[in-house]
Amino acid sequence: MSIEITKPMNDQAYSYINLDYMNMMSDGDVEMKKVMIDMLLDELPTELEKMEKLTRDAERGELGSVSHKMKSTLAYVGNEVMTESNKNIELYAKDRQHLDQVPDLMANLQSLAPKALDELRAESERC
Amino acid sequence: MYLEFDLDRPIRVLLVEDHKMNQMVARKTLERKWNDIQVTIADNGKIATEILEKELFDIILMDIQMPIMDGYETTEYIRTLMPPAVAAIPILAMTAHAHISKDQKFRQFGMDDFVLKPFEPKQLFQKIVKYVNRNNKTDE
Repeated sequence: MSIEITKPMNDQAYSYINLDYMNMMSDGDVEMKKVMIDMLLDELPTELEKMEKLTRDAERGELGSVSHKMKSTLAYVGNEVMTESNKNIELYAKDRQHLDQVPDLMANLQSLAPKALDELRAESERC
Repeated sequence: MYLEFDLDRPIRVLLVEDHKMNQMVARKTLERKWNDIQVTIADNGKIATEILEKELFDIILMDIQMPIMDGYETTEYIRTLMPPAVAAIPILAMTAHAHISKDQKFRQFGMDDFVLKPFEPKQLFQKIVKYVNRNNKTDE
């Protein structure tokens, strides 16, 4: 499946991340921004891995909880497709509805995360 | 809006939040706004209640979904089982639950108000000032 982000990005060179919120919160503090990006590089793969396992094991309650935490992480990444997919995973897992759609939503996250992580790494090096 | 406290000392904030990035961002945001602010962080509600046994705060910023003891449970504990000075501390929910304003559950458990995450700094500042000043007037 090919997923493109339609919203124009302010970070000119990036297609999979939008650092507007991170830039607002770091408020010109480059050191803080770098720490935030490095935390994302650490946390995003870990949280995603947890979600993959919980999806495989059909642990819906815990999947909803981890997905809820992922919401905060994704706010800093700024990828709308990832944010929306994760939001629906949380909703469906908590409501026990449309569970057949969860694997596709997880696939969205899995396919976009490496690209977002690559761009975050590039931004970290620029800091 | 003039965002200052009616207090002649630095304000003390207890931030109850398990997400490391949110902890750091909230702390830095508050310290940037008020450089003498004292921010204490608790990773979950259980730790928060232990800290509150020993220290007083002007306001509590409370995440809702946390391991061990969540924000609702913690707020209820603070309001019903802790000494009056602690039970009276204003509590602001900080949550990514977009529906929080609809079900008003946060009020049933004794929270004063809420700020949605990802939070907008100005909104957080305004609510902190509002509730700290209100509580300070009540104390007088």
